[in-house]
Amino acid sequence: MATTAGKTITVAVAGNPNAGKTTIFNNLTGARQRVGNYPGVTVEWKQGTVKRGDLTLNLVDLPGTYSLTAYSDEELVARDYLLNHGPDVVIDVVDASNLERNLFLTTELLEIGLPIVVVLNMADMARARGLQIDVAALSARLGVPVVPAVGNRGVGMDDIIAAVLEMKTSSTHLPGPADVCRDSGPGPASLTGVSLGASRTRVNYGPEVEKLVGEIEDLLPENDARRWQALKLIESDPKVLESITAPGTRERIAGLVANLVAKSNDEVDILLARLRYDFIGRICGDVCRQPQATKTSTSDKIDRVAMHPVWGVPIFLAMMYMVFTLTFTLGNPLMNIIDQGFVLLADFLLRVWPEGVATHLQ
Amino acid sequence: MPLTQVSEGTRAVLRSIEGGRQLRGRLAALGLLPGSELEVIQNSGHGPFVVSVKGSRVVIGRGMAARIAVE
Repeated sequence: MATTAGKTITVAVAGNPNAGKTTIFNNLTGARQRVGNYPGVTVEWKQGTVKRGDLTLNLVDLPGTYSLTAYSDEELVARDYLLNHGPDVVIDVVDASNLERNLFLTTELLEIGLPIVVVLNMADMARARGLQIDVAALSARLGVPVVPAVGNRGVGMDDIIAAVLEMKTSSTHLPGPADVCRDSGPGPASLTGVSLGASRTRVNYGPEVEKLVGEIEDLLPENDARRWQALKLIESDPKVLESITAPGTRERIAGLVANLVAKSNDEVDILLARLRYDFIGRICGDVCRQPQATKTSTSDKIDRVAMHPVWGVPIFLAMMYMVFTLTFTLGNPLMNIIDQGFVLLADFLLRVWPEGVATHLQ
Repeated sequence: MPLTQVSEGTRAVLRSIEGGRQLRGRLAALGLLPGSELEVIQNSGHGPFVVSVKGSRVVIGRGMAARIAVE
């Protein structure tokens, strides 16, 4: 077993906005965190550490994104970090009750080629809405460990760390898939339904696109993110295109992509997005049991009243009034206590203070 | 017809998005791409426009909704 004593592991935390990324990050790191800033960009990121024995996990909370395109600052920051800072492991926080949409980012993360641990967050809420997710099956289909967690109650945090460590250990001595399977025997991870070891899944974009991806990959220098780069080049991602500097390569790629553009009814970026969703749809169809009808959720019921065009504003004003009144009714007695405290303190000091200059100051 | 004309509680299929790569990419990442089935959850003529797509609720701007054609 490779030793990781005294080492630092860098772990990036990625996920959709509102997937509970920061809650999980805070739960994992406790108070040991600080806010940082990516150079040149105004999007903030947080860093924190977790210690396990003599091992230090350095966690980086990336901005929440729905995908990894080049069209928004957050997405650029997230993907530049993943591509250029090379974290050892990526924690992908997935909101269980919005599984399909959240897995869209997961497919991109899989393509970037970094070791991933998927955290299935808020599974309790999804279950309350009648949605059942087979965690072991999801893990097998994605080919990465999936850890169920409830961020706001701190459930599953140890399992996340265990999965990250196991991921790191197994990737440092570069095993074949079978090797990892042997390592992931009945440890604590397997008890939570996490199955390590199946080789990571890739979205199958169909023979035509896959052939094109292969041809473009051959034109790119060897690296783990080559497949992702090739797919981004098919989408004509401006930043990835910029990074291609070898003379003539851009032109050759453009020529290859032009064939696909000519044959496709859709825009190429839409075609790839659709194929990703088809892949996700097949997975969800197999691992999820959906509620029969779209049940009206509590949030829907509250929304119907609170977001009403006529009643919404009075309800909002009434709530604000309540907050205001409560602040003062609850605050007044406390303020009086503090006030009295100061009066008593002053009396006491005057009594014990020796006669002198200071007493004339009052 | 534009998505803004679909009334609350009605299902529709997205036909096309009138916009550039950026808008298309953003909406696709939210699950809104040509062929997607969606349901209008809230469309009160003003304020937030809410649709349900692929089991998730998505809030989009009214201006954005006007550029989405459905049938």
